[in-house]
Amino acid sequence: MFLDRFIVRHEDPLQSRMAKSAAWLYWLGIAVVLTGIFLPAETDIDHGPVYLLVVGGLLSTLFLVFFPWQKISPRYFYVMAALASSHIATLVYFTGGVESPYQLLYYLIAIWAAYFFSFGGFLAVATLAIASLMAPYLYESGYDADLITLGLMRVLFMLITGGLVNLLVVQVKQRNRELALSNERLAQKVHEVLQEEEKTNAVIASVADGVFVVDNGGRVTLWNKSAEAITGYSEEEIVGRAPGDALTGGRHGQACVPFCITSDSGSRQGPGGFEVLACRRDGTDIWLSVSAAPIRDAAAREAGSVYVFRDISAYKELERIRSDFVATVSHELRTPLTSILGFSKTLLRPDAVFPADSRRSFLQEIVREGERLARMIEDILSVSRIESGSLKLDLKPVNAAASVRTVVANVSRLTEEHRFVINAADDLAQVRADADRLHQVLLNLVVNAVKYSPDGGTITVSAEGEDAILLFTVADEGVGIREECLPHVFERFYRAPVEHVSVTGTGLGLFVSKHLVEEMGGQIWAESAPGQGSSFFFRLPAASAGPEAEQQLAS
Amino acid sequence: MESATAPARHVMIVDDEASLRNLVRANLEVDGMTVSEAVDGFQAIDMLRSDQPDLILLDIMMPGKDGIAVLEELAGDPSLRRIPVILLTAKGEQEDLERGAALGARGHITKPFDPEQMVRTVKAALGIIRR
Repeated sequence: MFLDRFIVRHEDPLQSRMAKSAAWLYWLGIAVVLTGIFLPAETDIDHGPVYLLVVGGLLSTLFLVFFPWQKISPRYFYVMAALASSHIATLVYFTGGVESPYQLLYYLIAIWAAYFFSFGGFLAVATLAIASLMAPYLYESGYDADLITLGLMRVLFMLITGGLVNLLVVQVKQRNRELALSNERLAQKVHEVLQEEEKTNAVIASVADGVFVVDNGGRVTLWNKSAEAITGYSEEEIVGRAPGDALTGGRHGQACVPFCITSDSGSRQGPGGFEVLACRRDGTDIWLSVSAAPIRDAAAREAGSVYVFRDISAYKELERIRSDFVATVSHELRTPLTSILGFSKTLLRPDAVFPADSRRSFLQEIVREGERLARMIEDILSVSRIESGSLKLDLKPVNAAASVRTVVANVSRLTEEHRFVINAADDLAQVRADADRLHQVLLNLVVNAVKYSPDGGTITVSAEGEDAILLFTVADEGVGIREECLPHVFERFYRAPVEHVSVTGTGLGLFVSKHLVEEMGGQIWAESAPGQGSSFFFRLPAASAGPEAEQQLAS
Repeated sequence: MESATAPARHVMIVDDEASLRNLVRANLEVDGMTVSEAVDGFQAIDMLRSDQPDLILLDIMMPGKDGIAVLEELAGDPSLRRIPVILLTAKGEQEDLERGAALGARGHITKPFDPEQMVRTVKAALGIIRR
C-alpha cells in the first residue's frame, strides 16, 4: 500500500510526542486561516479558493488526528510542512501580500521544522517557506531593492531562529538518545545481574553440598538448605551470628568445627580442603569434608570466606570398616598359620620326643587349621569375585543329601563337644546348584553353628523337599542372636556381638553365603533368640524344577 | 644350663584360640612344666585368684577382656603384680607392645613363633636357663 511507505514504528516516545505536537500545530494553522478569512472584512478577498483550502486542510487534519501517530514516518511531515507552507502562502497572498501580518506564520513552520527534523530536513522545509515568503516581495516590488532587502532580512532572521532552535533540539535529541541508550543498557545490566543472582541462589539452594558464607566480621551471611539438612541448624539460627557462638554444645562442649573457623583464625586452607569431625544439632558426630575460599569484592579486598562442605560420615565409616577388616583378616589368617607352623615345628623339635597319640593330635590340629585357612581364603576370594561381578557358577543337579553328609562329616572332626543330627532322606530330590558353592554355604553355616555354641549341644542339619524347592536348615543350641542384630548378620564385615565368648571370624561367611545362595536362584534367612540358639535356612530350586519354582523363589 | 632339681614350673597360657593353647601346652609339658589354660581375660583373672602360676603367656588381641586390660588389672593388684608376664603378639601391634612393657610385661613372643624358641624364652623368664 502507498501509505505503508510512510509508516514506521516510532519506538522513541519523544518522536511520537513530536508527531502529536505537529498535529496540534496544524490545527493552529487552520485556526489562523479561518481568522484570516473572517477578520479583515475590509480586504477584498476571493473566498472561493480559501474555502477549498479550508476543506482540504480539515480533511488532512482529520486524517492526521485519527492516524496512529506512533507509527508515522518522519517523511510524512515533509508533506505536512509543504501543505502548511502552501496554506500560509495562500493566506498571505489574500491578506495583503508584503503587508500581511500572517508572514510571521512562516516562523511557526520554520521553528516546527527545526524542532522536528534534522538540520537537512529543516533546510528543506525552510527553503519551501522562504520561497513562499519571498514570492510576494519579488512579485509586488517590481524588483524594488528595499523590499527585497526587507524580505531577505526576514528570511535571514527566520533561518537564524530556526537554525538556533534546530541546534538546540539536535543537542537535546542527542542527549535524549544517549540517555535512552544508557537507560536501556542499565536496565539490561540490572536484568542480567538479577538473573545471575537468581541463578546463583538457585544453584546454592539446590546443590547437595552445604554452603555458607562468613563475612569479615566473622558473621554468617549465607546458609543454604543443604547446610541445614546436614547439620540440623536452620538458616534462622545461624545467619547473623558468629558460627562459633551459634554452634556450640557439641559432645565436647566446644564450638563445632569447621564453624569456628573464621578469617582471622589462621586456619585458612588451600583449595584442597580438609576433613573435620563436627557435630549435628542433635549432638551426634558427623565427619565433614570442607573446602574454603576467600571472597573478594570489586576492589580485590577480602570480603569474607565461602565454605563448602559435605557429609563424609558414610565414607569414613566405610574406611573404618575396611581398616578393621584388614586388621581382622590379617589376624584371622595368621592364627591358623601360627598353629600349622607351630605344630609342624613341634613335631620337628630335635630336643623333644612326643608319644604317638600326641603326634597324631598335632597332625589333626595341622589339618584342622589348614582347612580353616582354606575356608577363609575361599570366602575372601568369593567376596572379591562377588564385588567384581566375576563369580562363575556351574549349575548342575547335585545330590543334596550327600552334600549335607559330607559337610557334617568334615566339621564333626573338628569338635568333640557337639552332637550332629542329619535329616536328609536318601531319596531326596537333587538340587540345582554349583556343588562347590553349595558345599561352601553349608560349611559356613555348620562351622558358624559350632563357633556360636561354645558350650556344645546338638547341631541339626536338614535338607527336605518342598514341591520343586529344597529347604536346607542348620540349627544350633548356641548363644543365639539378639533381635536388633538379626537383620544385619548377612551384611559384609558384620559380626554380631557375643558376650563373654570368644568367637573368631572375618565377618564374611554369611555375606558370601547369602550372595552364593541368591546367585544360585535361592533365598537365605535366619531365625534366632538370645540363649535359644539360631536356625539358618536357605531354599534352592530342585534340579527337576521348572521356571515356576524360580518364580516362587523370587517372590 | 638346665636345673634338674627345680620343681615343676607352672605356666598359664591365656589365648582365645584353642589350637594355640594346645600348641603351647604340648611344647611346655614335654619340657616338664605344668600348663593351665584360660580362654580370655575374664577367665584368666578368675583363675589367678585361686591358682597363681610362675609365668603368664598372655595374648593381646582377645575378644572381651584383652591382654592389655588383664595387664592393667595385674599391675593394680599387689598379690598378682609379681607374676612375670610374656605377651603373645602379632606383627604390627607395636603400640600395644609398648603399653605392655610400660605395664610391666617381661617380654613378648611374636606369632607365628618357633616352639623351640618359645620354650627357651619361657625358661629364661623363669630363670631356668640364661638367655
